[in-house]
Amino acid sequence: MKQSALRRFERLYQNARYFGADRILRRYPGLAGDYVIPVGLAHGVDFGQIRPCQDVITVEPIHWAHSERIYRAALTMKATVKIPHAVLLSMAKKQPELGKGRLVVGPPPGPVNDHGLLDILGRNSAADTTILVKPKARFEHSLRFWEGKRFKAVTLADRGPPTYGRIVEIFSGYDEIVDCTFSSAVARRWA
Amino acid sequence: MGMKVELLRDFSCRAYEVTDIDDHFAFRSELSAGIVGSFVTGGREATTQLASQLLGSELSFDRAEIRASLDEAIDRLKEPVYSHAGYGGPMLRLMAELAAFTNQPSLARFTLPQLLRRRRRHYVYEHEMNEIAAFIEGVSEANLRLKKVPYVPGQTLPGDTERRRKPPPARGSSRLGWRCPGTNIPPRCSVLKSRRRTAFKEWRRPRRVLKSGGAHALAFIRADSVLGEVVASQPVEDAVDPDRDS
Repeated sequence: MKQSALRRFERLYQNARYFGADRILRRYPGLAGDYVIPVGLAHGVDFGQIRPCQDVITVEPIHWAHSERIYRAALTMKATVKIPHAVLLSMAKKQPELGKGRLVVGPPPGPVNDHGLLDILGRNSAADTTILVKPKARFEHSLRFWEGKRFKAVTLADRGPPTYGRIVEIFSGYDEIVDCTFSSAVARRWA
Repeated sequence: MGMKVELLRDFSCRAYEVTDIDDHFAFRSELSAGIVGSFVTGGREATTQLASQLLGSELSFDRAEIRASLDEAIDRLKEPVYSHAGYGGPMLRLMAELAAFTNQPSLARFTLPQLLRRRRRHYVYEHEMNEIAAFIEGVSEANLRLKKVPYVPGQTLPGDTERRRKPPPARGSSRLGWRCPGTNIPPRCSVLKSRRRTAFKEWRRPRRVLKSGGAHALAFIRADSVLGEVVASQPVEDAVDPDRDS
C-alpha cells in the first residue's frame, strides 16, 4: 500500500504514539515527519508472558517485533518487522551516564498498592529512596502519598506525555533500581 | 545501563482487569519462568546480556536496513488495518472506513457480537498477584487471588487498583435534599455523620432565631467553615470508603 492510501487511516494508528515510539521510529532512520507509521508494538517487555505475544491484537496492520521469537509468533497473525526496541533506538546515539541513588519503580498507583510497598520498604528508607509513580489513573494521589511519607516521588508524566526519552533520563539519575513487578518494563531498566 | 537491580519478591499487586488474568498470562511457560528466574538469580553481567537480547540488541541498527524493511512491509500490505474479528475483503474495508470515520479502532478489531458483549459488561476481575512468584514458582493461591466482582460504571473500572467512591448524588436528589454550601459531604457518609449533623444543627439554629439577612449570612459562613475544616482534615488516602467491601 502507498503512504497516500494509509493517510486516511492514520488516526487509527494510535499504538506507536504511546511513549513517542512513532517519533523515534521516524527520526532514527531519517523518515519524513509526516511518514505514516501503521505499526504497533509491545510497550512493556515481551518475555513470553502473554499468548501469543504482547500487544499484537491491535488495529495496526504491522507488528514491531524486537526479537526473533516475537517475530515468529507475531508473523502467524499479521505482517511483522524486526527492529530493536524503541528504548534501544533512543539510546543508540549516546549511552547515558549513571548518577547515584536508589529508584523504586512503583506498582500501579492506588492506596492498597502504595501501602503494601511502603510496608516492604519501611519508613526509615525514605531519605535515600526515590519512588517512580506510574502515570496511570489518579497517580497524583500516589505522588502526594509518597511525599507525605517523606519519600521523593517522580513520575514520567511531569513534563507532558510520558516518553521513552524521559524514561532513560530518569533512570540514568540512579545506579540502583528496585522493582516489585516484572511484566511492565523491568527488563528495560537493565538495557 | 548496568544498574544494580533488586526485585521485591514479597510484593502483591492489586488491580481490576477485564479478563481472567490466568487465561491471559502464560504462567506455565518455561520460557517466561526461565527469564524471570535468570533476572532473580543471575549475576549482573548475565542479566544485562539477557535484557539486551530481550530488547533486540542483536538485531540490525543499520538505518538504511530499518528503513528498507519498514518500506517493504508497508508496500506489501493489502489492507490498511488488522482485524482480529476475521473480517476480510470488502467487509474489512467497510469496517476500516467506518472505524476511521468514527475514530473507533475497535470497530475494525471486533465483530458486532463481540462489541455488544464489551458494551454489556457485567463483571470484572479483582486480582491480587505476586507476579514474580507466580512466574517462578507457578500459579498458586498464595500468589494469585482472583475475585469476580460486579462491574459498576464509574467505580470498578478495569485498570484501576481500587474501587472508586460512589459519586455524590446531585443536589436535591438525596432524602434530605440539602447540601451545605461549600462542602461536598455525601449525605450517606457514616464517618462524618455526627459532624455533619452538628454542623447542620448549627446551620439551622440561627436561621430559625435570626431572621435578618446579615445574621442569616453569618450562620451560613459559620456552618461552612466548620464543614470546611472537617473536609480539609480528612487525608485522601486515609479516608474510609463506606461502600467498599470489607
